[in-house]
Amino acid sequence: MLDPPADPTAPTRVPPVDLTLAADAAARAWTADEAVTRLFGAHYRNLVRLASLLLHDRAVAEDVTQDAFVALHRGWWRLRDADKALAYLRASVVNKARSALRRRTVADRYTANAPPPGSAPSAEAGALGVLEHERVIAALRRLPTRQREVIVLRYYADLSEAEIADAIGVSRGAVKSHAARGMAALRKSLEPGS
Amino acid sequence: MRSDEEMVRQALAAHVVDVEVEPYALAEIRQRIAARRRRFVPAFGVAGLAAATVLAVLVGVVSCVPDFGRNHTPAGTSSRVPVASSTSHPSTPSGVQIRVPVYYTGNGRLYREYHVQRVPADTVDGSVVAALSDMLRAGSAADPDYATAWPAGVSVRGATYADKVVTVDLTGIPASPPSAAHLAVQQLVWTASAAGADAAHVEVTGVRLLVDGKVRSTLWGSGTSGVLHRDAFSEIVAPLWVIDPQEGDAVGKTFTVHVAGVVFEGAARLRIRDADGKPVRDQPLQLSVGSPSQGDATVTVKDLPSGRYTVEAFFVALRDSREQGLDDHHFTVS
Repeated sequence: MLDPPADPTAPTRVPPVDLTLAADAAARAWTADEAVTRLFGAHYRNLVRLASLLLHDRAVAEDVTQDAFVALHRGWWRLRDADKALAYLRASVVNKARSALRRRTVADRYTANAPPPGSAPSAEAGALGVLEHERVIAALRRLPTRQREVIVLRYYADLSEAEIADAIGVSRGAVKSHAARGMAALRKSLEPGS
Repeated sequence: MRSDEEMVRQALAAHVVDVEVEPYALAEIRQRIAARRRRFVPAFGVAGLAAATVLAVLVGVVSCVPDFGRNHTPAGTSSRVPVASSTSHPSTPSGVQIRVPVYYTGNGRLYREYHVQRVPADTVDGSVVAALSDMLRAGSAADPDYATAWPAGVSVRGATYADKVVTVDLTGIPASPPSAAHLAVQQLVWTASAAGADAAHVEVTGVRLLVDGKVRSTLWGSGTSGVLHRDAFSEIVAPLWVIDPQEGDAVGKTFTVHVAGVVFEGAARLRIRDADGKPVRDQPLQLSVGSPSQGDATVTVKDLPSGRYTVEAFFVALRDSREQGLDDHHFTVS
């Protein structure tokens, strides 16, 4: 909350904002528009990538991420906290990605589309590494939604069990369970001859 | 040997490493927000009628705010900063703190700043009066390069909003015109329009000027009996300006530079100089859209040592490769 200026008629400079500090006081001084701008600069790309892993559809991934920012703008008056905002955006992206997957058109695209061309393999990665990655991604796509979400949030977004639980709205125990089952399925898919 | 977990981690990272975002994504988000506001305003106007009579002006108004920056909104165009409540339009005994747009002049063009002011209530007329009070006061601009074109002694008596027109009542107008009379009038028109539009997301098509409560046929040689309109922003507003950091800001090691402007193909440049004037950053800056629309761009700057710096935004003229439209702000990294 901003402190009132000593002189009600005197102009007060808008406080400088530094996202890396993410201080509550500074974040609470942001307007909704400022919050969107700051958080966009810091997190938009990674959130699109997160959505892309969940959806396997880059265009829809960008769409649901933009939706999440619009929702953040709408709810900023009660959020007004940079740290909570990122968690809110992440949860919003996961939920919207799940909703998008439920929609028939997206589901069709998800199952029917061939995997998009990946990055050109680096010299370090080599053809074997690319093949291995593709098998992991293919196995990931076959996982049930919750397991896929947990795996992506754990191993791509690097979230803790508690953060994953918040993001997808389940208990920490359920996160552990989904993670264990998901990893077991991935391991199985990577076994020779699978 | 890698663990399965590490293999999954690497596969996920590799799969999205080439996923890039749309260059205009921020502008698209802002357009979605603006579209939502346009849907929201009429309903809110009806719901708020009983609680806040001042919002009656909103009833039936479809907001399609023409202020530049509405569709390609630079940061901070939503200016409401509630003091003690989570609601958008609180009215408390101590009033509310709002952020109002104020236009100043520099190099014969208009530049905008946002100022925070406390007003009795978050209303269109309150916002306009607050913005114009700052605009009229010499030395009120945060940036020393900006100034008001209005002569000393002029003050605002009040403002009202009706039928998409903000009516402003001034007093203390001297007979002799200031050196840039037309620019002064445009400074007032742009400030009143932006403050009115920002206050409640209403459309403001023009400004009617009263002097001591009465219509004056002319002001400093210009006709003022009718509604005054903004000149095209490509004609009157600065081609580029730095929104963040603001003049005098203190920022952290990592901070965002936000620039808006109307330049050909959105091609601008960004330069940051240290205290000795030596460039420490000099890079192209692609605005979200090119002229005649207003675009903007944000750049995250990292790892500047502590010290005083100057951020400069400018564009390079195609004809002679000279730097044009430079706007600069001084700031401190701490």
